Amino acid sequence: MLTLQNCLLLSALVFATGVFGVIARRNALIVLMSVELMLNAVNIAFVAFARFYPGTSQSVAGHLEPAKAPAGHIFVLLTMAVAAAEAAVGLAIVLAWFRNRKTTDTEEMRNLRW
Amino acid sequence: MSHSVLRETFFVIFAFLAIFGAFLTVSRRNPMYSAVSLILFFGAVSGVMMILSAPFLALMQLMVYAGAILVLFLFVIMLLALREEELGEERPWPLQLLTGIGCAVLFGLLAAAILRAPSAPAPAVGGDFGSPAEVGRSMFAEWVLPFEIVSVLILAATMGSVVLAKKHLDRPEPAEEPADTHGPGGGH
Repeated sequence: MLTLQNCLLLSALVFATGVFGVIARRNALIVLMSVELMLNAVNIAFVAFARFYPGTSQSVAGHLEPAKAPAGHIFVLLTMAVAAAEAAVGLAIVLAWFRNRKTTDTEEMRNLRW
Repeated sequence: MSHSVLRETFFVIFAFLAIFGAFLTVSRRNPMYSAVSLILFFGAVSGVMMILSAPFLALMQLMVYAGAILVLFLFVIMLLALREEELGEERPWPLQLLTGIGCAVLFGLLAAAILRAPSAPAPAVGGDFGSPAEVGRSMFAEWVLPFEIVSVLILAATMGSVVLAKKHLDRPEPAEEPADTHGPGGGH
């Protein structure tokens, strides 16, 4: 059951759910949460590949050995940092928008100035 | 053997919890309920990462997503304090159905590609696989440049959020209550 394919299927299903949320919902907050879902789906795929294909890394002595911290783990950490930055900027935009227009509806976000 | 059975059982449980949380997140009308469902999703993903031998990432998932990003979402939701009539209307249901079908097709395409890939058994890894010490060593030995670039990105995002969310950038904030110097019997 714990196979690479099942992990990737979980990742794909969560990603498709996030795509649905971004397209089908009109509330800007829920759209941002769906983006977080998609980023997390990618993280699951990274961790799964890192577990099943860890690759090699250079040891201190200079020869190749099975990696104990594969590149996928580092990528996940970088993705988390980018997701945090994205959430902060996105929520600040929603907040500024709500202050001016009293709505969080993405359909109302048609113009750059008013 | 029982150890591996336990691990597989927990993988199935966490996977279904993650899918359930994701579905709830995109389907709730009130963003507060979506945010609470997102906690379930983040916790379940953290469990999946733990089962996939990434203990440091599982902890980071809980701390960064459930601890920081979700609190940010909850703060903004409470700051907006949307009432029921302010939630706005949803898209018409035929459009939602069409989007759902499109996303199901997307998942089908991805699943077809995934199921064609070879499924290798998981290689045995040591107890320190993905531990904080190993991830830190790898990050500061091999990936130090991306790490530094991310710090610049976070600095830019921090300043951008402050600029975007602040009310008046060019004028100072008005005083809370102007001093009333003409009031009768001012307590001088």
